[in-house]
Amino acid sequence: MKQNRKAQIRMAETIAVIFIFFVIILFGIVFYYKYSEITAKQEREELVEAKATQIILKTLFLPEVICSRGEAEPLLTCFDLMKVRAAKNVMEDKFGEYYFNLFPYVTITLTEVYPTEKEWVLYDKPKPESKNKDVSHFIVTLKDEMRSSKEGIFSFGYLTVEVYS
Amino acid sequence: MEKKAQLQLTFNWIYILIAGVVILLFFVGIILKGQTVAEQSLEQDIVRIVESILIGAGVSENTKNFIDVSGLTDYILEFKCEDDFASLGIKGGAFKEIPIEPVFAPLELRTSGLILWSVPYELPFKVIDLLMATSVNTKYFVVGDGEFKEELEKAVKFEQGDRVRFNFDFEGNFDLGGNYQARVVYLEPIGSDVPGGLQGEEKVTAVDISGREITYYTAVNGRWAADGGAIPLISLPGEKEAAKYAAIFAGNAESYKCNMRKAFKRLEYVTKVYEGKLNELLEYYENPLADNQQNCKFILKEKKPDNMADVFNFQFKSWIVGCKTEARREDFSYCVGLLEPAEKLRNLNEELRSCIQLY
Repeated sequence: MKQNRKAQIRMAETIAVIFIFFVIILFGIVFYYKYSEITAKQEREELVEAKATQIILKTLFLPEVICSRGEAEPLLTCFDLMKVRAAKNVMEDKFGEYYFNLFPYVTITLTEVYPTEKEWVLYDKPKPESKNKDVSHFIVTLKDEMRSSKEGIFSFGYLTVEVYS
Repeated sequence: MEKKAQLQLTFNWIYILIAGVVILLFFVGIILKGQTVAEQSLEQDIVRIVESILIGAGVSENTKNFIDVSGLTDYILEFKCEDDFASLGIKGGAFKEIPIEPVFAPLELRTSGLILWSVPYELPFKVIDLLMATSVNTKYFVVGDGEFKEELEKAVKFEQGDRVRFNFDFEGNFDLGGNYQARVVYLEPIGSDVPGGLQGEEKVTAVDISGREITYYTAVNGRWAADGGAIPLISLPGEKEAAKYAAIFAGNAESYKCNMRKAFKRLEYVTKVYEGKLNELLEYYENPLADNQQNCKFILKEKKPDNMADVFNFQFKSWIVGCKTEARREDFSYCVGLLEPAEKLRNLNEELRSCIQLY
């Protein structure tokens, strides 16, 4: 009888140890999962930010829209609006697949703020069912040689890049 | 009773031993799995970082960058471009497709320092930046004289010192000197034998750019063996011919052609944009109130035999379509036909100096 009781106590002890062991393991798993989730989120955000910077860079030097000057070096951070108007159709319609490799799920907009206020959507490909987007801006010069010299061919604006994730 | 206790004691030890081994194995498994995942993730990170370095360097034209990658000396970076599939990766490991940017680089690099150089490809307007990638331990021997040698000598000089191992005046002393690989650049017709100092070295290749054609060679038993046929140089003669520089850095004939095809593809799209601009210009100069209207309209659509609209629409554009198709069949000779209308467009654009220029 005495021995039986001792065995019962030992059994209860073992069960308690196993229970605590699994509780600790479970706690560890939950902790690791939460930690991984936060790290993954941070990495994702960093990646999206890096992508936005890359896309801004690519857009600023895009041969389709830069302000070229014949054989001379092109004007930096300047967009030729005559080319922008033509490029919009090329990039979105017929050759969309090619440009999708260059700018995956992104919206690129050019906004003129002075002397007039206008907006051109250069490329628009929002990610279906996307909930997050990273928005970046860059100040640029816009050139429209078809404007009269009185109006001035250069104007001031900014480039907006929205990267969907 | 004593016997039973002894038996129980032994059983307990065996039980502990088995449980211990199982637990140990479980953790060893986790560690091994973690190690594999970490290695894969490291490889992917490396590829991603190198890719973003390449893209960053590729977009800003005429820039030369030295990138310290001393942490990557254990890895062999592979630059592939075959059958219109281009990738950058770690040999036998992770890789990433590079579908747009033309990257001209040796097929393999194992280095502590990457050198990147971007030159705009113009035909006649800027089409894309050609990115050249090489390493501090890839040695280049330039054989031959002439204007291009002087131009190249100036072009490869780095502000921070001579990091690119370009050798111009080495008096026939070909020596790999502990470098990973060598490329002999012939600006004069190539001989049949591999130069003495490079005999027996495995990673030695050559490129002959003496004329308006490019031929690649590999070293086989001490002799140069042509890698494919001669590839016509699709570039307007002048200074800083990006396609010619690219030939120096491309790993082999296939890689050069594959990357040039990327440029031809982009040329079609950029041309479409200029077509839109040209139409807008033609419309604009119909207005008699436009500045310098008569002269500009004349160059754009009335000048005989060649005006901007005719050359662009009936010569240049039609050659592009054919060039793209033929280049896909490995034949670049058709693309040579592009050069004449491209040259005409360049001259006409110069004539438009007092008007709105096309590019």
